[in-house]
This record gives sequence, structure tokens and C-alpha cells, in this order.
Amino acid sequence: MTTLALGGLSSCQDFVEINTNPNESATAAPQSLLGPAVYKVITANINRNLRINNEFTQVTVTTNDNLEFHRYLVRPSESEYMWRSWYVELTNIKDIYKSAGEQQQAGYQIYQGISLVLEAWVYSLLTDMFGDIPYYESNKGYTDGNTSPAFERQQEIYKNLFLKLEQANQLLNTTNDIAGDKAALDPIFNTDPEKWRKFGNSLYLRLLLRVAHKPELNAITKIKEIVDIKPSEYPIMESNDDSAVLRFTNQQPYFNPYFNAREIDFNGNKGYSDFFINNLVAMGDPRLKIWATEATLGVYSGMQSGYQEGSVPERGSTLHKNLMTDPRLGNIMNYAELQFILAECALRNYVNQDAEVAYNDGINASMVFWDQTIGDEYFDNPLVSFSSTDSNNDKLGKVHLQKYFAMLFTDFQQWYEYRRTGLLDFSDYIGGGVQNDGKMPVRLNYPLITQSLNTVNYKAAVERLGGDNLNGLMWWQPNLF
Amino acid sequence: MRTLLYQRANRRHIISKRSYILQLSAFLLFAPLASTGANNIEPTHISYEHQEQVTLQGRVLDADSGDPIPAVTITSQGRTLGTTDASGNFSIRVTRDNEVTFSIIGYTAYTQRITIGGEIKVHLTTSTQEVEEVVVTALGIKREQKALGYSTTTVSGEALTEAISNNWSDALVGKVAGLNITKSNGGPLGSNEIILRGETSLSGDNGALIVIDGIVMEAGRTMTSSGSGNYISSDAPVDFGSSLSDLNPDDIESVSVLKGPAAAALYGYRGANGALIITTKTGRKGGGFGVSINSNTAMGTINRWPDYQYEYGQGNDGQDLYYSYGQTEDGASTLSTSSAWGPKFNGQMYYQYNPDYYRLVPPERTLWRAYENNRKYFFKPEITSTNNISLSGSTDKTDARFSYTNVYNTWIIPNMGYQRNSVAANLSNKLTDKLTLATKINYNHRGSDNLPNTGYNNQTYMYFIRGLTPNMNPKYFDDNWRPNRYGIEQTTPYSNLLDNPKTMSYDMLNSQDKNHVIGNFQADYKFNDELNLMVRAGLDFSYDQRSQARPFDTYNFSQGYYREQGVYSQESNADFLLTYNNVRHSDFKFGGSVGGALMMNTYDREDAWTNQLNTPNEYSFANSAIALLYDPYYQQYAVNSIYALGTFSYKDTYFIDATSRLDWASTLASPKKKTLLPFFYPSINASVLLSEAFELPEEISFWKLRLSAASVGRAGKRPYLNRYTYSRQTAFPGGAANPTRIPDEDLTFERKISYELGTDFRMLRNRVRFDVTVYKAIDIDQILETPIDPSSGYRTQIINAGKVSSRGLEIETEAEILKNSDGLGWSLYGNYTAYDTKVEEIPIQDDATSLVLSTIFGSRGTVEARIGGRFGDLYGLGYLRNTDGAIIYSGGVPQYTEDLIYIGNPNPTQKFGIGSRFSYKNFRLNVLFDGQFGGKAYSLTHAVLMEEGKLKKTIPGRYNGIIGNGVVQNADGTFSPNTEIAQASTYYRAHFNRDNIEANTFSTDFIKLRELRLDYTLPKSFLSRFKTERATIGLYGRDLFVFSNWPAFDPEFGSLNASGIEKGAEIAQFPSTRTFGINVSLGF
Repeated sequence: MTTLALGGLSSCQDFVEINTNPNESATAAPQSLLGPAVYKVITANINRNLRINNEFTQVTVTTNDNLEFHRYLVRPSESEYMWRSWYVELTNIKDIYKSAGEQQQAGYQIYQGISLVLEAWVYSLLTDMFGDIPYYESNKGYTDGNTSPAFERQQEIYKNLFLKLEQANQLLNTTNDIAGDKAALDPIFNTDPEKWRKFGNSLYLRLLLRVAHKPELNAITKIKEIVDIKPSEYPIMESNDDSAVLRFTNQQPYFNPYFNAREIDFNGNKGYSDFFINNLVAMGDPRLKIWATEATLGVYSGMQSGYQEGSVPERGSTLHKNLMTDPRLGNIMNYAELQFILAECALRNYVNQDAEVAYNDGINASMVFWDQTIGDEYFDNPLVSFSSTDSNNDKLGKVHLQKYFAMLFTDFQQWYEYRRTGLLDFSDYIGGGVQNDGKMPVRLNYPLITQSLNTVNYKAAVERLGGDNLNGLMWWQPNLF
Repeated sequence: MRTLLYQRANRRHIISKRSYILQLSAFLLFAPLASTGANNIEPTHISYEHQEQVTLQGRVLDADSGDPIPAVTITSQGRTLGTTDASGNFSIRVTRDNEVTFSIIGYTAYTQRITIGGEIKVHLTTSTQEVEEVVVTALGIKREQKALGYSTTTVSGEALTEAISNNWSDALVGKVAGLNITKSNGGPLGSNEIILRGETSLSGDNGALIVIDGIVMEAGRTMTSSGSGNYISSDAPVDFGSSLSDLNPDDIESVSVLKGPAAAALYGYRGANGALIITTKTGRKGGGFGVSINSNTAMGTINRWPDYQYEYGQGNDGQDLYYSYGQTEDGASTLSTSSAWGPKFNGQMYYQYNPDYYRLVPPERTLWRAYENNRKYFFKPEITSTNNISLSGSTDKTDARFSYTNVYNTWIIPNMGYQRNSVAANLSNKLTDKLTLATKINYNHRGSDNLPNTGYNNQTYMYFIRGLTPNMNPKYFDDNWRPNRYGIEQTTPYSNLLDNPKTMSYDMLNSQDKNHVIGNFQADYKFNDELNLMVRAGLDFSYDQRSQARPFDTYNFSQGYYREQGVYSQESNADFLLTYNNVRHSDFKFGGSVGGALMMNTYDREDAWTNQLNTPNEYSFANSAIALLYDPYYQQYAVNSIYALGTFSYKDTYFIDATSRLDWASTLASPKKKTLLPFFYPSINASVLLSEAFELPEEISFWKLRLSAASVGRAGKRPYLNRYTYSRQTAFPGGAANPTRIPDEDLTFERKISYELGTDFRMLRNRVRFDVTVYKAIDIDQILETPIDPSSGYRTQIINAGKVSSRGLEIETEAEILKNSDGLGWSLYGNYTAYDTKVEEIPIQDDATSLVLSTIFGSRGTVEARIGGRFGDLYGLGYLRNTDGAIIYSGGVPQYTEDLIYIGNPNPTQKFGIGSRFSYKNFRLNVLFDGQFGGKAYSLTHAVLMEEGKLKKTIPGRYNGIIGNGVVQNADGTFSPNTEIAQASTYYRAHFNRDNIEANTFSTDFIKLRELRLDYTLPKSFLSRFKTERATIGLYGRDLFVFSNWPAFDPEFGSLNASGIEKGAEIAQFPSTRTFGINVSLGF
């Protein structure tokens, strides 16, 4: 017995050994965290882009009568997926900054800059979907033991995101280089600080424009500073080469998430909408043949969005099966989008630039992005070209129609932009089955899991918002619908 | 018919004159009917010798049969005076006026004061209880039941084989108060978790400890492999069975159920949830050699179906005017829906699927009709045959038993099932008078070509069955591949989103090949009569090779899929026990044991897969089109323990036991702080035989009171919970990710404290027996993984917290109503359990009110602990109601709450079992009913069938619409009755939408005719001609009738999920079966 007792006491070290997890590591290098985190955010984004965004914004229409996004109805359980995917990956994204600082490997500032750009990107996706969200207190479950973070006001979040992008712009302004094999672990820009810097500043413009109609953050002044006053201090994307895209290689691990899907699982229960097909057909857009199948030989047709329950329209064109392996579904922000941002800024007189040049450049960039060439006749089309009789609003509408197509398969950007501008004619196309008083939802409700696990902070946020529903106006959301 | 209850009443020590006369008169009264009587002396010759010593001679006879009893021990004042010979005769010298006791195992001892010498006849009555009263307790220590201060129930091996089931542990249901079984509902190998005294562990670790011949069976308890969720996840969970179901019930001698921590305190740590001590059969005692053969064949058919409608066919909301397969002159296509809101079957003709025009518009209209058995078409009867042969024998020094069992099962879904071969060997040898060596080895091989995917997912059979509509001809699914496109293109006659069920059963294969060995080696050294040392080593290990194959053109795997897993599980235990027993004093006896154990549990999984194959129908890694993914996993935990047990008794009437145990558990060793703290816990229990201590009316034959208090510490079975580590990201070169679980770096042990009070009361010569137990238990500082708001950056958190109390009442009773020597016998037995739990403290932050323990069914419902609530309370969305409780409608459809509301609790509060054993001559008839009350659970099957208009309940209101019973809110905030008419499909869909947890939650109350068995034993006279000792033919049935309002299949269910069996929600459960079987049992 004594022997055994001694055995027990002396086994502390052995037991510590036994309880040391052999499957996992106590540390992680910044480059190790980067690839999986970005890939997971992008695959989650494309998943819900197809499920939610595309139904809201009349890209596609489901033939599954139980899915009612196209009727502007959203089940409360729909919110958790993105909330969870984004916040869990934010832990990894923030940890890139932290571990880079701790480990101080050569060029660690580059990883810190990348971390800040990605952080701004993911937080902006979050706040634009829900409004006020946990921000300063979020992702501190382990470090601070805070498992029920307070929600931050959206205005404050935007203000801080801009600060992060400013910092990133400084950190990425470096001539340091990352060694090749390590650099290759970044699936987007091969750890090129210059490209990340351009992406960060382009993202900065996306976010500035999103809140430019709100005077509180002086966004217009900043836009002007970036574009007109100090362009050399704020380099932005200059071509499609600078586009932020996780191009799926369809080799381990960077598969297009639909790589293994059957065609019917990918497109079997949906077709493109009338809005989508009619506009592309009317413009004679060459991208149509890449995106859509022919409904019948040589003919593309769409479906009505918001159809009546029980009268599912006949499906016409649907998602082309090649999209299941297309590398471009990993789009984060492309050069074309930036040009349309600049075009809008010019039209709104935020900057002193030629709107039409930027607009045409954007169109060309998107065509190049999708490997298409267009002739002059494309620009001769009155649906495309700025005409002298166009009002500023008409021109903005054209910019946004092109931007809509340029941002196809890009998380929730089409929805967010429509919510900001209301410029596209979705309401003209929607059917009689539309619910929610025909109003486009302007946010998603907070997930049920937050409601039950972070009740106090949830309630405070809901009180500020005046109710947790699809129509609650967040700080930047204009009352358009 | 005789009812001789009174006559059999017995008093051991004090026989008053009055009762003597009563007994005598009773004897005289019933003597013509039987030769039985109470222990009885008939003075035949009296000699008045006034000496110090007298001679007493005579015979000892069996009171029932009148046969002489040899080897009866005759004692006086603690001294043995002699024994009876083969003819039951004896002759002793005894001091006058002393008491003489005649005793032998199996009979009630009889004592008489001897005043005169001479000849007497002694009649002893059999006492079956005496034999049973030795029970196996913790660590395999055999104790007299009367000495125990806690509740135990022993189930004989025979009771387990009466109506044999695929998983032998099913046979415990209804037979033990306080025992509940949670089923995975996972197919032919469906895993069971045995729960004693209800679930109280917030961590979900509620299963009882299983111990086989002293070997803890913890290895191989993990039953699922893929880690997939059960609701529309990327892959579906598969139940590969646990090691528990590998045991062969024919090899089980008995199962001792130690219900509470007091009983299992010596198992400590892992015994906090109670324990099942399984003793396997050993070589038969008493010399000789025997062979027994046991053969069972059983057929199971589905015993309940949801109440399907066959009046309306396929069609979505509003598509009830016509049906059209493809675009035709009748209108747009309506072929793709899984709903049955379509047109009524009225003899009309529509364009419908025609196999000759695959997925094309057929040329002609055909009759619009229902196929009323189309769901049944996809199932077949389950056949299980179990054949066992055992050889057993013994000599003076050695006893041995060898048994072989073969089980063959084909399940209700075609091409699914398993087979098992088991060999069990038991050998014990007395090397010297002092040293005995024994070994037991059990080897199993289990193989299956295909086990079902479970849950609600496109690859699960029940997902497909749910998708069938009444007008679908099931035969159209027969050729599941297109001609000449085997393994490349599936036939999907209706919705092409649904995988063909035949592909699921014949081509999507989950195979298993498992070898499992459990064995021990034990040496007992008897220093002397008082001191004994036992040293034992046991090993339980298995290697389970699994593969999963998916053909091309299946959901999620357009290019096929192949996975191989090898799971090695091992638990080794080495322990010793030094036992001292002092019986030198007849009044005061004491003893004690000290022991220690070293335990190590290892789980090692190899896991490799490919998501793409080069050529179809070729399942090997060599055929992978892409780089293989490899994700091995290794885990280990160990516990070292020392423990002691002390026992004290006074006059065999007052008993006290005390135990203490000290554990070092590796799961609490902190890699960050380099510390390991042991934990200590004691238990004490006491019992008093009131029937010995006090003079009680003679009708009371035995009355015991027992009391116990115990504390058990535990450190969980999951290692690595106290350190923050980064997980490997399979497929990403050098990839890593933060954990999604926050560790508890100060992890410490949890504690369960339990108090128990019980009584064992027997009347009328032990023929009526009650055993009542009440208990209260408190679980403190549980180690649990709780979900947290993902905005914390993590999904779950490990904490050490909470306080949950539970209390319960358990009653077991048995009555022998008839018993006579002609073989007419009838006894009834029953048990009743009531229990309740209360959450007393929970770790909550701020002023949040609840701790979410788990989410069910894709986060739509939560299992929450709220202070004052019951354990396992279910919350979810429900109807929005006004203050009067009326459902608020808007637009003709009901509105839901914004918040999660209390729905119910899946744990039943009451359970019962009631059985009867009847025998007459060579016939035996056993019946067992059982039931449960007080639980509620969510049914996804119901929700989906209602959404899709497939239950009879969805018929009212079709075509004409329906006005919901409720109110609408007026502009001024008041309510008025709802008058808005809603289309039936819209109405039912809104009511029973799967998100509406309230509307799809039902009571799980049931009563089942659980077991029925009729046996005929062939007469010995007939058998002797064939040199056969025993031959029995039995017909039996299991789960023959179920009385329940549960809307799906079986109200008794769990759902297999990524981490184990989930309760509270049924996620596309498999049908339950009614089993009929025949058993032939021969002994030579």
C-alpha cells in the first residue's frame, strides 16, 4: 500500500505527461493560422451568399417552397451560422497579430498588418449584417475570461475599423520580405505587403463609402484624402492583379467548396431570377454564358422572385456547373468593385475624378476578371453607357447594376449595397408572394444562441435598436424601404 | 388449490406456545393436502433420562417432498455436533436444556431446545432467498445481502435470455427500479447507455460503470466515428456499436446493479453513476461434465407507424388542382416537391412518372392513385439468430467453462446487419490449499458489411422515407442505377435531390470488422482463515476497422468517397485487495480490506479518407484522385487509487460498513502548472435487521432497515481539458487554428454526495417481499463543456461548477401467490421508480438566468439549466399567446414567440415494470409490462410530415381552408377571435413548422408489453432415452404492444449525434420493431 501511495504521489510528472495533448500544439505561428482562417471565412461566405444573399438580391430564386428568403422571410435560426463562422475565425485572425508580435519573426509587422486588414474586413461583414455587435469585448473568452461580451455601437465600430486600416497601412508600408516557403502559406497575396496594403486601402474606401451619407465620421473628407490628396500614402488596387481573391486551386486544401457537389445539389433547387437574366441579356453581357445554363437551346430565361406560395415558376437558366470548380468564387474584393466605388464617389462629388472613366474601367476589369472580352457595342448599349440625358441618379443606377454583377458570389456585398442605396429595381421584379410588407430586410436578427447565452448584453443592444427584427434600422442604414 | 401462506410462516428462535399450537393445527388442517409443514418435530419416543447429556437420533427431511436431506450441520452453542448421512439420519449427544440447530444452505435453519433425548424427525423448509442473498458488490467482494446498507438488485442470467434482444442490456428494462436505458436509435448495433437513478451530470457523462468479472469495461464505449451532426450535416453519424453489446447474455451468470454512490463508492471516480457488476458463468460445481446448447431465432417487424394519409398526393402549397410530371398541357411541373398538398385521389388521370421515359414527360396520362404500402416496401423483417454451445465441468481442483456463440442479424433495412462470433473461457485451478489461480477470457469478433447512416440528412434512409409521397410507386426505385451506368448515375424517379434508398442500402457502405478481447488473471492466496490476498490484472482491448464508401453521384460526393478508420481502444487495470475477516467472536465480527489499483485508458484512432475517386466502384486509397487526408488522434488517461473498506457486525443483526478512497487522476494533472492533486472521499452505511432485533409478529419473516451516506469524487473521462492548445488543420500545410473550446486551467474534481434510506420487508415465509429505497443525491462542481456566445471567440467553455440535486423513490416487490409441489406456481413482481431533479446552483455571468448545456436539432432548441428547474429542461420557440393563453394569429397563421420558452423535460419522472411468472407442470409463462410517464420530447419526424401534409391530421381544411382557433391583436392592443381563413397547407405548415418546438413536442409516456415467453420443458422420462438432461422449447416476444401517443415510431429513444446520444429530440428515428422468437435449449 505504501509503495502504491508513493507510486501515486511520484506519478505527478507522468500524469502531467499523460495529460499533455499529443494531438495539438501549445503555440502557433502567424503563417500557420492565416490560410485556414481565411479559407474558412470565405467558404462560409460563399455558402450563405448562395443561400441568403442571392435570394434577397434576386440573383437566384429557389424552387424549394420552404426557403423563403426571396419572399423576405428569414427563420430566426438562420443567423447563427455566419455569426459563429465570423467570430470564431476572428479569434484566429486576431491571434495572427498577437503571435506575430510575440514571436518577432522577420517581417512580423507584415503579419500584423494582414491581421488588421482581415479583422476590419470580417468585423465589417458582421456589423453590416446585424448592426451593433460585440466588438471591443469580443473574442476575449480566453484572454479575459469574458464569455458574454457587451455590444458596441456601430458608429464606434466603424470609427475603430478605420483606425485599424490606418494602422495596417503603416505596418504594411515596408520593404521587408517573407521567405518564399513561408510566404506561400498566404493563399491570397503570397504575403506580399504591397498587395495587402492596396487591399486594405481599397477596403477602407468600401467602408468609407458605406457610411459616407452619415456625417459623424467625416468619411467624405477621408475618401478625398485617400483618392485625391494623398494617393501615394494610400496606394489602392491598380489592376485585377491586385484583386483580393482566394483563388481556389482545387488542390488540397484550397478546394472550391462545391468541388464535390453533384450538379443538382449545387443548382438543383434554384434558378436565376428574371432580374438577373433580363439585365444580362439586355446588355448582351458575355459573362452570362459563364454564369448561367441555357434554359432551352440558345435561350436564357429567369424566374420570378417572391412568387406566391405553391406556384413555383418553371425554372429557366440556373447556375452553371463550371462554377463548382471556378477559382473566382473565392472573391473578397476585386479591382472592378473599387472602380465602381470611385465612380460613385465621383458622381457624388466626394472626389475630383472622372466618373465615367472609373465606371468603364470597372466594367472592363470585371470582364477581364471573368476572362471575357467586350467590344464597343457593349458600351454603346444605352443600358450601359452614361448618356448625356442621364441624371446623376440614372448614372448611379448604372454604376450599381455593374457593381452588382462585379460583386457576384461575394459574401453579402450585393445586399449591403442595395440596402445602402436602393438603386436597383428589385421591387419592380418581385412577385405577389412577397412578405414582410414587401420590405427588403435590412438586417438579420441576432442568433438565438446569443439571445440565450448573452442575454443581458443582447437585451441592451435590442433596446437601442428598438427590436430584434429584419426591419430594424442600424446606424448607417437609411430608411429606404 | 392451496394457499398455505400461513402454514409456512416461520420463526427462528422463539416459538411461543400459542404459535406452536397454531402451527400444529394448521399442519393438521392441511396435512391431507400436502405433506408440507412448518419446521416441525414429531416426538415419536420419549425417554425420561435425567442426565447431563442425552442422545438424540432421527432423520432430517425436506418439508415439501419428504426426501431425506444429507449433510445437514447440527450445532449447539457454536460447536458442531455432527451431520446427517446420505439417508438424512443422525445421532448426536447433546447437553440437556441446550438449543440445537439444524442448518444447511438452501433451507431455513431450525433450532429446538432439547430437554429429553430420543428420536425426532426434523422437517426443513427450503429457503430460496438464502441462496440468493449473497450478492456481488464493488470490487467483486461477495457479501450477504442482509449486511448491506444500500440498495442493490441482482438480475439473473436467465432473466436476460428470456426474450433475447440484439443488445442484451435491453433485457434489464422493466426489471430494476431506478434503471433506465437511453438508446441511440442507431440501427442494428444500436448503442445503449445504462442510466441509474436518472441523469444529473451536466457534462452528459451519466452512464453506469460496467464491470465484467472485475474488469472495468470502459474502452470502446465511444460509438460514433465520423463526428458528424445528426441534422443536415456534411456527413451522417453511424452507430458502430459499443463493446457492451458484444457480451453474450448466455455467458452471464448474474448482473448485480449497484445503484447509488454508496454501493459503488469503492469504484470511486467512475462509479459515481452506479455500476453494473457482471459475473460470467464458471464451470459447474459439484463435479461432472455438461454440455448445453441454446438456439434462438427471432423475427422483428415494425410495430408502429406514423398515421400517414393516403388521400392526397404530391404537390406543393396551392398545387392541389392538378399534378404534372414535367411541363404538360395540364400546367407547370409539380414533380420536384416532397410535399403531399396535391390533388385528392379521385380516379382522375395525370401525366406521371413512367420508367420508360426517365425524367421526361410521359406520352400518356395514368391513373392518379395512392400506393398505400409504399413506405413499408422499403423495409423487411429483421432476422436474428443466436446459437450458443457451452461445455462446462469441474474436478476437485479445477473448474472450467467454454462457450461459443454465433449471432447473425439482418436488419429491417435491406443489406444491413451484422454477425458476431464470441468465445468465452473460464478456468479456475486450486493449485494448493492456499493458492487459487483463475482466468477468464472473452473474445469477440463482430463484422458488418453495412450499418446505417442515422439522423436527418440526404444520405439517411429515414430522410428518404420522409420524402415519399402517397402517389409514389416504390417499385420505381428498384433499379437504382441507370442502365449501364452502375455506380455512375443514380435513378431518381421523382425528386433528383434525394439519393435512391437502394443506393443507400447496397452501395453506400459503412462496414466494420472488430476484434475485442476482455480478460483477466486473478490469484487468490489464503494465508489463513482470516487473511486473504487477491491480485488481479485485467485488460480490455479492441481493434475496430471501419470503412465508409460512397459511390459517385451521391449527395456531397459526386466523385465518390472512401474512408478507413482503425480504432484501437484499451483499458488496463491492475489491482490488489488484502482482506481480513475476524469471526472469532460469535457476537462481534469485524473485518477490513485495503486495496489499490492502477488504471490506464488508451484510445488511438487512425483515420484517412479521400473525397474523390478516379474510377467508380473501386474503393481503395490507390484509387484516390487527390491527396489523402489523414487525421490521427490519440488520447490517454490514467487513475491510480488506494482504498480501504471496514466491516463491523454485532449479533448478525447490526451492520456497519465504511469505505474510503484516494484517487490521482491524470485528467486533473495540469500541463501548465505541473501539478496533480489527489482527492479523497469516504462512505458509510449501516443496516439493522429489525426482525432479529425485536420480537415481531410472526407474519413478518424478515425486516431490514438500511442507511447510507457517501461521497464520490470524480475527474471525468476526458483528458486535455485544462490547457489551451492549437489544433492541427488537416489538409493545410503547417496549418493551425485556435481551439473553439476554452479550457479550464484550474480544473478540479467534481463531487457527488448521496444519502439513502431503505428497507427490505418480507412477509409470510418470505413469499411477499417489499424493498423500498429513498435517496437524495447532490452533484457539485461538475466538469462540463457549456456552449457560449460565439462572439466570445469560442463555441464552448470548460467549467467546474453547478449544483444539481436529485431525489427518488424506488420500490421493488415480489409475491409468490401460488406454489406447490405439483409444479403449479404463480408469482408477480413489480418495480416502481419516481425521481426528480432540481438545479440548485449554476455558474452564470451577470444576471443571465440560465446555463445552456447543449443545443438540440441545429440550435433550434436548447437544453438549459435554470435555478429551480429540472435537469434537462428543454427550451425553444413556441406559440405567441395572449395573457389568456390563446394563440395569437396574424394573416390566418399562428405567430411564434421571439424568445425561447420552456417546452418540457425529456426525462420521465416515473417508471414502472410489472411482471408475472406462471408455471404448471412442464409449462412456464412469463409476462413483463413496463412503462414511463412524465417526459416530453421533440419529434422532427412529426414536424416534417406535418409541414409536408403527410399525416392524417393534415386532411381537415383541404380545398376549403381552415380558421385557426385563436385570437388576433386589434390595433388598440385588444384581442378578438381569429376569423381569417388560411389555406390548409399554409395553416399546417405554419403551425407545425420544425422551428416551432412547442407544437412538435409530445409526451413520451408509454406502456409496453415488453416481454412474453412461453416455455415447455420436455419430461425427464422422455429425455433420458436420448441421454439428455434438459430440453426446453420457448416461444417469446419483445415489444409486442406499445401504448403511446408518440407521433413517430418509438417513444423510447435517443438520437445519435456527433458526441454521443442526445436526448430530447428525435431526429428522423428508425422504425421500432416487434420481435417474435423461438428458443431451443438443450442440456446434456
